[in-house]
Amino acid sequence: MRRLLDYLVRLYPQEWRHRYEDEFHALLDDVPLRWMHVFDVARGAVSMRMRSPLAILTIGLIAGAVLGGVSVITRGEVFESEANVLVDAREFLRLDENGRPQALDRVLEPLSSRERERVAIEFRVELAGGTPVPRGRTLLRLSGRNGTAAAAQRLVQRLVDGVEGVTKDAVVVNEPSLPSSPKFPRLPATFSVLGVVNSAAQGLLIGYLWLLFASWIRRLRGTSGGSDHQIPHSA
Amino acid sequence: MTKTDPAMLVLASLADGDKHGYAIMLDIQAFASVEVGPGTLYGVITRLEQRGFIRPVPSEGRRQPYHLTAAGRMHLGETIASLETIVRVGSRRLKHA
Repeated sequence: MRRLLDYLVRLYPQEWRHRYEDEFHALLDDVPLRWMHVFDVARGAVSMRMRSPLAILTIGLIAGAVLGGVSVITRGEVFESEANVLVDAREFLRLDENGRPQALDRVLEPLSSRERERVAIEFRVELAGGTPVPRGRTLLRLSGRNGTAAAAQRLVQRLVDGVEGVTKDAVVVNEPSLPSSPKFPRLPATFSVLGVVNSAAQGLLIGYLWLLFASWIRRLRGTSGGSDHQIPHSA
Repeated sequence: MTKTDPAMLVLASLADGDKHGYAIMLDIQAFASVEVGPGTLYGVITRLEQRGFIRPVPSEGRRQPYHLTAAGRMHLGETIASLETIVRVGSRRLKHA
Protein backbone atom coordinates (compact mmCIF):
# COMPACT_ATOMS: atom_id res chain seq x y z
CA MET A 1 0.00 0.00 0.00
CA ARG A 2 2.90 2.37 0.78
CA ARG A 3 4.28 1.81 -2.72
CA LEU A 4 0.89 2.58 -4.24
CA LEU A 5 0.71 5.78 -2.20
CA ASP A 6 4.22 6.77 -3.37
CA TYR A 7 3.00 6.33 -6.93
CA LEU A 8 -0.11 8.40 -6.25
CA VAL A 9 1.99 11.20 -4.76
CA ARG A 10 3.84 11.37 -8.07
CA LEU A 11 0.51 12.27 -9.70
CA TYR A 12 0.41 15.58 -7.81
CA PRO A 13 1.53 18.65 -9.82
CA GLN A 14 5.29 19.08 -9.91
CA GLU A 15 5.09 22.56 -8.38
CA TRP A 16 3.12 21.18 -5.42
CA ARG A 17 5.52 18.29 -4.98
CA HIS A 18 8.49 20.64 -4.98
CA ARG A 19 6.95 22.47 -2.01
CA TYR A 20 5.15 19.73 -0.04
CA GLU A 21 6.38 16.28 -1.08
CA ASP A 22 8.91 15.71 1.74
CA GLU A 23 6.54 16.67 4.53
CA PHE A 24 3.68 14.77 2.87
CA HIS A 25 5.80 11.61 2.80
CA ALA A 26 6.67 12.23 6.46
CA LEU A 27 2.93 12.35 7.23
CA LEU A 28 2.31 9.12 5.27
CA ASP A 29 5.12 7.49 7.31
CA ASP A 30 3.37 8.53 10.53
CA VAL A 31 -0.21 7.55 9.64
CA PRO A 32 -1.31 3.91 10.15
CA LEU A 33 -2.32 3.42 6.53
CA ARG A 34 -5.71 2.11 5.43
CA TRP A 35 -7.34 1.76 2.05
CA MET A 36 -9.42 4.88 2.61
CA HIS A 37 -6.15 6.83 2.70
CA VAL A 38 -5.30 5.55 -0.78
CA PHE A 39 -8.57 6.93 -2.13
CA ASP A 40 -8.07 10.14 -0.16
CA VAL A 41 -4.59 10.70 -1.62
CA ALA A 42 -5.85 9.87 -5.15
CA ARG A 43 -8.69 12.35 -4.73
CA GLY A 44 -6.19 14.93 -3.46
CA ALA A 45 -4.06 14.45 -6.60
CA VAL A 46 -7.07 14.97 -8.88
CA SER A 47 -8.16 17.97 -6.83
CA MET A 48 -4.68 19.55 -7.08
CA ARG A 49 -4.55 18.91 -10.82
CA MET A 50 -8.00 20.42 -11.29
CA ARG A 51 -6.82 23.76 -9.92
CA SER A 52 -4.83 24.70 -12.99
CA PRO A 53 -6.97 26.07 -15.88
CA LEU A 54 -4.62 24.58 -18.47
CA ALA A 55 -4.81 21.16 -16.77
CA ILE A 56 -8.61 21.27 -16.67
CA LEU A 57 -8.84 22.13 -20.36
CA THR A 58 -6.28 19.44 -21.25
CA ILE A 59 -8.10 16.81 -19.17
CA GLY A 60 -11.42 17.81 -20.78
CA LEU A 61 -9.88 17.60 -24.26
CA ILE A 62 -8.26 14.21 -23.70
CA ALA A 63 -11.22 12.71 -21.81
CA GLY A 64 -13.61 13.87 -24.56
CA ALA A 65 -11.39 12.44 -27.30
CA VAL A 66 -10.99 9.09 -25.51
CA LEU A 67 -14.72 8.77 -24.75
CA GLY A 68 -15.61 9.81 -28.29
CA GLY A 69 -13.09 7.35 -29.77
CA VAL A 70 -14.36 4.47 -27.64
CA SER A 71 -17.94 5.36 -28.50
CA VAL A 72 -17.25 5.51 -32.24
CA ILE A 73 -15.28 2.24 -32.22
CA THR A 74 -17.77 0.28 -30.12
CA ARG A 75 -20.86 1.63 -31.84
CA GLY A 76 -19.73 0.55 -35.29
CA GLU A 77 -21.37 1.49 -38.52
CA VAL A 78 -25.04 1.32 -39.32
CA PHE A 79 -26.19 0.89 -42.88
CA GLU A 80 -29.71 1.63 -43.95
CA SER A 81 -31.52 0.35 -46.99
CA GLU A 82 -34.91 1.38 -48.26
CA ALA A 83 -37.48 0.18 -50.78
CA ASN A 84 -40.58 1.95 -52.07
CA VAL A 85 -43.45 -0.26 -53.17
CA LEU A 86 -46.70 0.85 -54.79
CA VAL A 87 -49.58 -1.49 -54.01
CA ASP A 88 -53.32 -1.56 -54.63
CA ALA A 89 -54.81 0.62 -51.88
CA ARG A 90 -58.08 -1.27 -51.49
CA GLU A 91 -56.33 -4.62 -51.08
CA PHE A 92 -53.70 -3.17 -48.74
CA LEU A 93 -56.15 -1.35 -46.48
CA ARG A 94 -58.09 -4.48 -45.49
CA LEU A 95 -57.84 -4.25 -41.72
CA ASP A 96 -57.38 -6.96 -39.10
CA GLU A 97 -59.25 -7.10 -35.76
CA ASN A 98 -56.76 -4.57 -34.29
CA GLY A 99 -57.47 -2.05 -37.03
CA ARG A 100 -54.08 -2.60 -38.73
CA PRO A 101 -53.69 -3.40 -42.42
CA GLN A 102 -53.51 -7.19 -42.74
CA ALA A 103 -50.70 -6.87 -45.29
CA LEU A 104 -48.47 -5.24 -42.64
CA ASP A 105 -48.93 -8.21 -40.32
CA ARG A 106 -47.93 -10.54 -43.13
CA VAL A 107 -44.78 -8.48 -43.83
CA LEU A 108 -43.63 -8.53 -40.20
CA GLU A 109 -44.63 -12.12 -39.39
CA PRO A 110 -41.48 -13.88 -40.70
CA LEU A 111 -39.12 -11.50 -38.87
CA SER A 112 -37.62 -12.19 -35.46
CA SER A 113 -38.25 -9.66 -32.67
CA ARG A 114 -34.67 -8.40 -33.04
CA GLU A 115 -35.15 -7.91 -36.76
CA ARG A 116 -38.42 -6.08 -36.15
CA GLU A 117 -36.54 -3.51 -34.06
CA ARG A 118 -34.40 -2.73 -37.10
CA VAL A 119 -37.15 -2.12 -39.60
CA ALA A 120 -39.59 0.69 -40.21
CA ILE A 121 -42.65 0.64 -42.45
CA GLU A 122 -44.50 3.76 -43.50
CA PHE A 123 -47.44 3.88 -45.86
CA ARG A 124 -49.05 6.78 -47.64
CA VAL A 125 -52.36 7.01 -49.44
CA GLU A 126 -53.31 9.96 -51.64
CA LEU A 127 -57.10 10.01 -51.88
CA ALA A 128 -57.07 12.38 -54.83
CA GLY A 129 -54.12 10.71 -56.48
CA GLY A 130 -51.03 12.50 -57.81
CA THR A 131 -47.28 12.28 -57.52
CA PRO A 132 -45.74 10.04 -56.29
CA VAL A 133 -48.84 8.08 -55.30
CA PRO A 134 -51.43 7.61 -58.07
CA ARG A 135 -55.11 7.32 -57.20
CA GLY A 136 -56.08 3.93 -55.86
CA ARG A 137 -52.53 3.10 -54.86
CA THR A 138 -50.68 3.04 -51.53
CA LEU A 139 -47.00 3.88 -51.26
CA LEU A 140 -45.19 1.58 -48.86
CA ARG A 141 -41.80 2.80 -47.67
CA LEU A 142 -39.90 -0.16 -46.23
CA SER A 143 -36.58 0.47 -44.51
CA GLY A 144 -34.17 -1.64 -42.51
CA ARG A 145 -30.88 -1.10 -40.68
CA ASN A 146 -28.00 -3.48 -40.17
CA GLY A 147 -24.25 -3.69 -39.59
CA THR A 148 -23.33 -4.16 -43.27
CA ALA A 149 -24.78 -2.77 -46.47
CA ALA A 150 -25.54 -6.25 -47.80
CA ALA A 151 -27.32 -7.30 -44.58
CA ALA A 152 -29.45 -4.13 -44.64
CA GLN A 153 -30.37 -4.79 -48.26
CA ARG A 154 -31.25 -8.43 -47.51
CA LEU A 155 -33.48 -7.34 -44.62
CA VAL A 156 -35.36 -4.92 -46.85
CA GLN A 157 -35.64 -7.52 -49.59
CA ARG A 158 -37.33 -9.84 -47.09
CA LEU A 159 -39.78 -7.03 -46.30
CA VAL A 160 -40.49 -6.58 -50.01
CA ASP A 161 -40.99 -10.33 -50.47
CA GLY A 162 -43.36 -10.29 -47.50
CA VAL A 163 -45.78 -7.90 -49.22
CA GLU A 164 -48.11 -10.67 -50.35
CA GLY A 165 -51.74 -10.83 -51.25
CA VAL A 166 -51.70 -7.37 -52.79
CA THR A 167 -50.88 -6.21 -56.31
CA LYS A 168 -47.36 -4.80 -56.42
CA ASP A 169 -46.81 -2.13 -59.07
CA ALA A 170 -43.17 -1.24 -58.59
CA VAL A 171 -40.28 -2.12 -56.35
CA VAL A 172 -37.19 -0.02 -55.84
CA VAL A 173 -34.44 -1.14 -53.48
CA ASN A 174 -32.16 1.84 -52.88
CA GLU A 175 -28.47 1.94 -52.18
CA PRO A 176 -27.79 1.38 -48.48
CA SER A 177 -26.40 4.44 -46.74
CA LEU A 178 -25.21 5.56 -43.34
CA PRO A 179 -28.17 7.42 -41.90
CA SER A 180 -26.10 9.46 -39.48
CA SER A 181 -23.68 10.63 -42.14
CA PRO A 182 -25.41 10.47 -45.49
CA LYS A 183 -22.81 12.65 -47.19
CA PHE A 184 -20.02 10.17 -46.41
CA PRO A 185 -21.73 6.80 -46.73
CA ARG A 186 -18.54 4.98 -47.64
CA LEU A 187 -16.05 6.86 -45.45
CA PRO A 188 -16.37 5.42 -41.96
CA ALA A 189 -12.79 6.48 -41.10
CA THR A 190 -13.64 10.11 -41.81
CA PHE A 191 -16.76 9.73 -39.73
CA SER A 192 -14.76 8.29 -36.82
CA VAL A 193 -12.20 11.10 -36.88
CA LEU A 194 -15.00 13.65 -36.97
CA GLY A 195 -16.63 11.87 -34.03
CA VAL A 196 -13.44 11.99 -31.96
CA VAL A 197 -12.77 15.65 -32.80
CA ASN A 198 -16.36 16.47 -31.95
CA SER A 199 -16.10 14.70 -28.58
CA ALA A 200 -12.78 16.37 -27.82
CA ALA A 201 -14.36 19.76 -28.52
CA GLN A 202 -17.22 18.88 -26.18
CA GLY A 203 -14.70 17.86 -23.49
CA LEU A 204 -12.92 21.21 -23.95
CA LEU A 205 -16.23 23.04 -23.62
CA ILE A 206 -17.13 21.12 -20.43
CA GLY A 207 -13.67 21.95 -19.02
CA TYR A 208 -14.20 25.63 -19.82
CA LEU A 209 -17.65 25.59 -18.20
CA TRP A 210 -16.09 23.93 -15.13
CA LEU A 211 -13.56 26.76 -14.93
CA LEU A 212 -16.34 29.36 -15.10
CA PHE A 213 -18.30 27.49 -12.44
CA ALA A 214 -15.25 27.18 -10.13
CA SER A 215 -14.46 30.88 -10.55
CA TRP A 216 -18.08 31.74 -9.72
CA ILE A 217 -17.97 29.56 -6.58
CA ARG A 218 -14.71 31.23 -5.49
CA ARG A 219 -16.23 34.68 -5.95
CA LEU A 220 -19.28 33.58 -3.98
CA ARG A 221 -17.07 32.45 -1.12
CA GLY A 222 -15.09 35.69 -1.31
CA THR A 223 -11.83 33.87 -1.93
CA SER A 224 -11.12 35.12 -5.41
CA GLY A 225 -7.59 36.12 -6.31
CA GLY A 226 -4.75 34.90 -8.44
CA SER A 227 -3.03 33.29 -5.49
CA ASP A 228 -5.46 30.36 -5.57
CA HIS A 229 -3.55 28.77 -8.39
CA GLN A 230 -0.12 29.39 -6.95
CA ILE A 231 1.73 27.02 -4.66
CA PRO A 232 3.45 28.89 -1.80
CA HIS A 233 7.25 28.93 -1.83
CA SER A 234 9.19 26.77 0.56
CA ALA A 235 9.47 27.92 4.15
CA MET B 1 -19.54 25.76 6.94
CA THR B 2 -20.39 22.45 8.61
CA LYS B 3 -18.94 20.62 11.59
CA THR B 4 -16.81 18.61 9.18
CA ASP B 5 -15.39 21.53 7.16
CA PRO B 6 -11.72 20.44 7.16
CA ALA B 7 -10.37 23.98 6.72
CA MET B 8 -12.08 25.20 9.89
CA LEU B 9 -11.05 22.05 11.75
CA VAL B 10 -7.39 22.65 10.83
CA LEU B 11 -7.59 26.32 11.87
CA ALA B 12 -9.24 25.31 15.16
CA SER B 13 -6.52 22.75 15.74
CA LEU B 14 -3.71 25.25 15.12
CA ALA B 15 -5.38 27.82 17.42
CA ASP B 16 -4.07 25.65 20.24
CA GLY B 17 -0.45 25.87 19.08
CA ASP B 18 1.86 24.92 16.22
CA LYS B 19 1.41 21.36 14.94
CA HIS B 20 2.66 19.16 12.10
CA GLY B 21 0.35 17.16 9.82
CA TYR B 22 -0.05 14.00 11.88
CA ALA B 23 -0.52 15.98 15.11
CA ILE B 24 -3.27 18.00 13.39
CA MET B 25 -4.99 14.76 12.29
CA LEU B 26 -4.86 13.31 15.81
CA ASP B 27 -6.07 16.56 17.39
CA ILE B 28 -9.05 16.83 15.02
CA GLN B 29 -9.91 13.21 15.70
CA ALA B 30 -9.81 13.92 19.44
CA PHE B 31 -11.80 17.17 19.62
CA ALA B 32 -14.23 16.74 16.70
CA SER B 33 -14.35 12.95 16.18
CA VAL B 34 -13.66 13.57 12.51
CA GLU B 35 -11.03 11.68 10.55
CA VAL B 36 -9.30 13.84 7.98
CA GLY B 37 -7.29 11.85 5.41
CA PRO B 38 -3.73 12.84 4.44
CA GLY B 39 -4.76 13.95 0.92
CA THR B 40 -7.58 16.09 2.27
CA LEU B 41 -5.35 17.54 5.00
CA TYR B 42 -2.63 18.63 2.59
CA GLY B 43 -5.20 20.03 0.17
CA VAL B 44 -6.47 22.18 3.03
CA ILE B 45 -2.97 23.11 4.23
CA THR B 46 -2.09 24.22 0.68
CA ARG B 47 -5.21 26.41 0.43
CA LEU B 48 -4.84 27.91 3.90
CA GLU B 49 -1.20 28.74 3.28
CA GLN B 50 -2.09 30.35 -0.06
CA ARG B 51 -4.64 32.54 1.70
CA GLY B 52 -2.14 33.50 4.39
CA PHE B 53 -4.10 31.88 7.22
CA ILE B 54 -1.28 29.55 8.24
CA ARG B 55 2.47 29.52 7.68
CA PRO B 56 5.17 26.89 8.06
CA VAL B 57 7.57 27.35 10.97
CA PRO B 58 11.22 26.32 10.76
CA SER B 59 11.84 22.85 12.13
CA GLU B 60 14.37 20.08 12.13
CA GLY B 61 13.45 16.81 10.48
CA ARG B 62 10.93 16.03 7.80
CA ARG B 63 7.81 16.86 9.79
CA GLN B 64 6.68 20.39 9.02
CA PRO B 65 4.79 22.26 11.76
CA TYR B 66 2.37 25.06 10.87
CA HIS B 67 1.46 28.23 12.71
CA LEU B 68 -1.87 30.06 12.71
CA THR B 69 -1.28 33.62 11.43
CA ALA B 70 -3.10 36.74 12.62
CA ALA B 71 -5.24 36.63 9.46
CA GLY B 72 -6.09 32.98 10.14
CA ARG B 73 -6.97 33.76 13.76
CA MET B 74 -9.23 36.60 12.63
CA HIS B 75 -10.91 34.41 10.01
CA LEU B 76 -11.49 31.64 12.56
CA GLY B 77 -12.89 34.17 15.05
CA GLU B 78 -15.30 35.62 12.47
CA THR B 79 -16.52 32.17 11.43
CA ILE B 80 -17.02 31.06 15.03
CA ALA B 81 -18.92 34.30 15.77
CA SER B 82 -21.25 33.72 12.82
CA LEU B 83 -21.75 30.11 13.92
CA GLU B 84 -22.51 31.25 17.45
CA THR B 85 -25.21 33.55 16.07
CA ILE B 86 -26.73 30.66 14.13
CA VAL B 87 -26.59 28.40 17.19
CA ARG B 88 -28.12 31.06 19.46
CA VAL B 89 -30.95 31.98 17.07
CA GLY B 90 -31.59 28.34 16.13
CA SER B 91 -31.74 27.24 19.78
CA ARG B 92 -34.08 30.09 20.70
CA ARG B 93 -36.42 29.31 17.81
CA LEU B 94 -36.43 25.61 18.65
CA LYS B 95 -37.50 26.40 22.21
CA HIS B 96 -40.36 28.58 20.99
CA ALA B 97 -41.48 26.19 18.26
